[in-house]
Amino acid sequence: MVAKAKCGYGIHNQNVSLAANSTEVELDSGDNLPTKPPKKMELRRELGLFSAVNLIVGVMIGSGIFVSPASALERSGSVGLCLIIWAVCGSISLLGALAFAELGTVVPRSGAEYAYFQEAYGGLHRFWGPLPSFICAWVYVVILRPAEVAVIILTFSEYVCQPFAYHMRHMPAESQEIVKKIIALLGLGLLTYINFISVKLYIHIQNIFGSCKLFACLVVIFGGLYELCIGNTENLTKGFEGSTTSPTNLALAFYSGLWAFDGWSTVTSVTEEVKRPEVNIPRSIIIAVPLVTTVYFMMNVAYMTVLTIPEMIAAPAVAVVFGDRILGVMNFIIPLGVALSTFGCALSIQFSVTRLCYVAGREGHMVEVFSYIHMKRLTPAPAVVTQGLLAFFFIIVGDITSLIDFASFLIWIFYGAAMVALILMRKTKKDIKRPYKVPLWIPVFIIFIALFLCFVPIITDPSPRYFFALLFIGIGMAIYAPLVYYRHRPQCMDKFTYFIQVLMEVVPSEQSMD
Amino acid sequence: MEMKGGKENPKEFTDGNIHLTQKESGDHLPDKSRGSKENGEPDDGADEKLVTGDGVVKTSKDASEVKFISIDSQNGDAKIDIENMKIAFAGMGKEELMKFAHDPFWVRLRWFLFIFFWLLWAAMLAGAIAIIVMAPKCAAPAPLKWWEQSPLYQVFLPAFKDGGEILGGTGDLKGFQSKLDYIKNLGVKGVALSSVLKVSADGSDEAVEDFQDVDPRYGTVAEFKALITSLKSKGLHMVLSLVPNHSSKKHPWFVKSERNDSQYKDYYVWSSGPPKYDSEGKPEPPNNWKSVVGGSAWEWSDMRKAFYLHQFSVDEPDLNFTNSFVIEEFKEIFKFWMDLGVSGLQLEKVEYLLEDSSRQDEVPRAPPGTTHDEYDFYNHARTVNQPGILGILAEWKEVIQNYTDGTRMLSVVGNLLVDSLVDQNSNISIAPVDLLHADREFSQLRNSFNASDLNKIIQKYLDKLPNDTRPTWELSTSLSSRVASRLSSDYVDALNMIAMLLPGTPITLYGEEIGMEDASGSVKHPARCVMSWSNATNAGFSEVPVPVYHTSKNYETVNVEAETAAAGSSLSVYRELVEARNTPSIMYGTREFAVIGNDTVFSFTRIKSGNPGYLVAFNTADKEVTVSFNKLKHVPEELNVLIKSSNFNSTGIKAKSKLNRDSVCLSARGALVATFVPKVE
Repeated sequence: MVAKAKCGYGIHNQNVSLAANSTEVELDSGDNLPTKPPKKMELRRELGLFSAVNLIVGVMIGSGIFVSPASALERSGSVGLCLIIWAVCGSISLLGALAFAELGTVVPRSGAEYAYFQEAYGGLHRFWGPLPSFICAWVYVVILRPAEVAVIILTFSEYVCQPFAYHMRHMPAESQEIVKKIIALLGLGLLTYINFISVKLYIHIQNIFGSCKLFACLVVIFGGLYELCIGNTENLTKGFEGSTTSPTNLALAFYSGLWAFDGWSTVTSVTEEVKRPEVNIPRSIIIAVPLVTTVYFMMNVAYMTVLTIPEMIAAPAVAVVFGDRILGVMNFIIPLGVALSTFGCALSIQFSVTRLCYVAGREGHMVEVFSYIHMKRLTPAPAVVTQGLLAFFFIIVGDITSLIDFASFLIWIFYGAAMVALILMRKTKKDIKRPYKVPLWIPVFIIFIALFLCFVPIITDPSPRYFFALLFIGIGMAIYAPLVYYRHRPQCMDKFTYFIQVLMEVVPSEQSMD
Repeated sequence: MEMKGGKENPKEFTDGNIHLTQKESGDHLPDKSRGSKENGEPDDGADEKLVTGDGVVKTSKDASEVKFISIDSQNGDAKIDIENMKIAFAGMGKEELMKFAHDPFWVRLRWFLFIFFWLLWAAMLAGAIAIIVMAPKCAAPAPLKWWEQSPLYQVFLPAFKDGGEILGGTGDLKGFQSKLDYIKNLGVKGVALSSVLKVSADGSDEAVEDFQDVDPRYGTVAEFKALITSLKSKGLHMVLSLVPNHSSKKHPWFVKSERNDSQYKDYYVWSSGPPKYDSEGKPEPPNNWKSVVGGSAWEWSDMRKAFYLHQFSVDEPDLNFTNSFVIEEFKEIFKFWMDLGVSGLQLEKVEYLLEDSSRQDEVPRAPPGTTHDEYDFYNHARTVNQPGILGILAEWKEVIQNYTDGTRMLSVVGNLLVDSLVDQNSNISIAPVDLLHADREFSQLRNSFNASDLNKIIQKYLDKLPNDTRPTWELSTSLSSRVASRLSSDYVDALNMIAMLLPGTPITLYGEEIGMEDASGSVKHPARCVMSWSNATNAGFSEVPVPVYHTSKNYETVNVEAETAAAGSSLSVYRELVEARNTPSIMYGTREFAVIGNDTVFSFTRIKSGNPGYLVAFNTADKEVTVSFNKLKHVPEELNVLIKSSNFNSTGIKAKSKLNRDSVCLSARGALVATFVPKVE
């Protein structure tokens, strides 16, 4: 066994190492290694169809639908128009997701947009080619996802604190803030630990939380249906009364609606861990996105049945008001559902972004230890810890919603660019087997939507924060040029790599294309 | 060991070369993994696992040294290919890693970090729990008590409604009972009835002969009971006013006390020791204390050969509240009335309950225009607000609060008490009374006051109020003058809006909800005019030709009948305000004040997150102004008009219309209440 292992290895060191080590090998191998048949150092394909669906649902349904579904309503002005907007947003998301499903089968690697940019644009130019993928990874890994995790886990903390609101209401606002941050940090510690320790554990927890989340949604939906059945249709029969006629408001309504659906591309960012990705990715998307659309639509119907438009707009958390109104003593279900939902959402977002981190590290676009995986647990431990620390930092610093605002319009630029990549690869990689293909109009349509969505906020609310986004991209390029393009590597990186390796017991992964 | 380091390098070196060739073929991706993938070494890495165990044997120091040496050598040896090597993984393979990673130092460090992580986690959890558990606990947040929720409507019984049967010309219990629907329709839940206790025939309202009987002018105890029953059936609570400080001279207690009866001799405040006599042989009062109505507060009793104290009229000797029996007597009196069904007691003149036991002279402060025989000539540090009053009130409150269902309350009228509450008992945890009337605030307003004057008065009151005391807002009392006369009828709705929507309990004198003016003709207490029910004779108060109390000056235009019919009248504004008090923002919300538009507009907001916010804006100037409310931090751009004062005449502003925060036009002395969706900071 030992000899065979060495044989496959580099010729230069084979003999030496054999001579040096062979005597000791047998003594220790039994203690330290699993007795199972040897496996490759790589991330396992652990996600089946159910888990993939849960991953999509988990990221898409965060806290938004429970807490602030009213912004689309506020902009659209009427119940009827608002429901149409939700349905249309769901359809657009489905189209986008289907296009990503094709991309996922053409480029069966983790990282979603990042991998597609790499594949489509990487070879076009020595300097500019890999840049889009680098910027994509840079924005997602360093700012956007950890900030999202921070915001969502803070919402989680808010709802965990709710049962104690009675005890806390006389506390000064600052100490309430501190308690919330502490609880957010506890949640973050927990979810980072889960992602650190085991992919299987993550999947179990994600599946449980996903089911609870859907259950909470169903409670709202059936509550609303019940009210409808007993004839409580006063609010709904208002129909299109008061619909907005302003194109700006309509655009903003779509904008906020589409935000609620964001996350449909998640499963493609973990392609390498999905079992039979060519089958399961399209399937999970076909199941999850319409499911979420239906759930959102029905939840809005339920809200609008029970609450009036001003009540919905004024409520700090629509679902909680809804629960207080119709669930009676069972109203604790809603805050509990939101808490579980947000935790699961943050968990899944972190899970997916660590994979992007991991892929980017592998490709040399990030510190390479990010691509190392724990030798027994087979999780990308350094990437997980880094994401945990970034989110930790964002929670401590506070006031990060503006950060998300300024970077979030970039997401739609990335989606648009991914659609361009899809069309481009139809040309450049004609011969790759595509088990599944979307009609050409879909990516073209999504490109238009993407352009629309990046320009809406800039035109309606021009503010200097978009320059911050550019500045941040500029910083990314300043890093890209020396460290990625010229491949300069500071001396200390070796020591750092060594330190991380021995500290976390991580080793480079050996990825294979299968 | 050095060889180990060496052996790593060539491997990378090789990978670097492989990579280079790939680059030539047009693939820019600077990654080793893909190189190795395409190189097709699928299995060796896994097999390595078995080999790697050997690393464990190494000692810690060696392990770390080795690596550094190897790095150095790498730099030294392979200068030419250094760049390529950098692209490649510098990382150790599994086998390599095992050697170092299982070194006890690293194992311990990992364990340390692992334990540290969970300890920190647990510590933070404990911290969070501790913060929550240690959070200050207070009384239950919600349901407000009825006297907190509702305004307390003050009825001066003899001028409210004549029931006609008994002694004509005076309001009585029957008459009051006939108007309960009116009170109920106002939306208020609490009515404070002026004293109905049996008084001496020739004495004042406060010369009580029997604290446990109804004066025949007003009715009987049976009628009182019937009244309470109908009040309760309409969901109304009655608070009974009484003055505990003194009784009538004809009260059996005083009669016995004057006779030096052993049980009652200390029921009143008597001078002690043999009196001094003046040149004429008349006994001299023990000190210079003056009665509120003028002259010495001491009166000689020939029978007891001692002076008794009367801070009010001669016929109203002060009870001795240093005597615990007297305090107990009043507990019994309170229980008597509560047994009849009253929901609370409103004690008046409580600041006079105790006097300085040293009996020292009051110090003159001699304001201009007063003589040494007048009450105002002196300050009253020895006779008013003496320490101990709060203790008595607390004792009484306990009796009232613990009475049956706990819905009873103790309200207190005593103007100076707020100051003493702060000075002496700022750290008392439970306010000794449920409501503390405070009418001095608005009585300081003079006609043509501006917004800052109003703001100052309100802030000053709120600032000096102890934290756990509920603010009360009383625009006028039956002893003062009414808003419409004292100030102007233009202010009626605006001041009602302020009193009703500020945090606290508004106390409304009957008739202030419709904007009645003072009594016509010159009378001692101008506010005590008969209620203006309609524009009929005697304002619909009584059938008799000349009632005891006069009609209000403006009863012909301002009366309940007319205002019920007119939309947007003061009465309808009042009703809407009472209704608005049921919203969470008004019940529990925070407040924020702003004076805007060059002291013309007084405004404040009430916000409870998750509920519509309220904005009250009052233009104190006598000309129209247009202002912006952007100073108030929660006010968004859009406002919805909820209520506007009856004198508001800007066209375009009506109930339910929308306003833009930045240009709200307020008519002269007009006020409005608007709701909005609070802006979150």
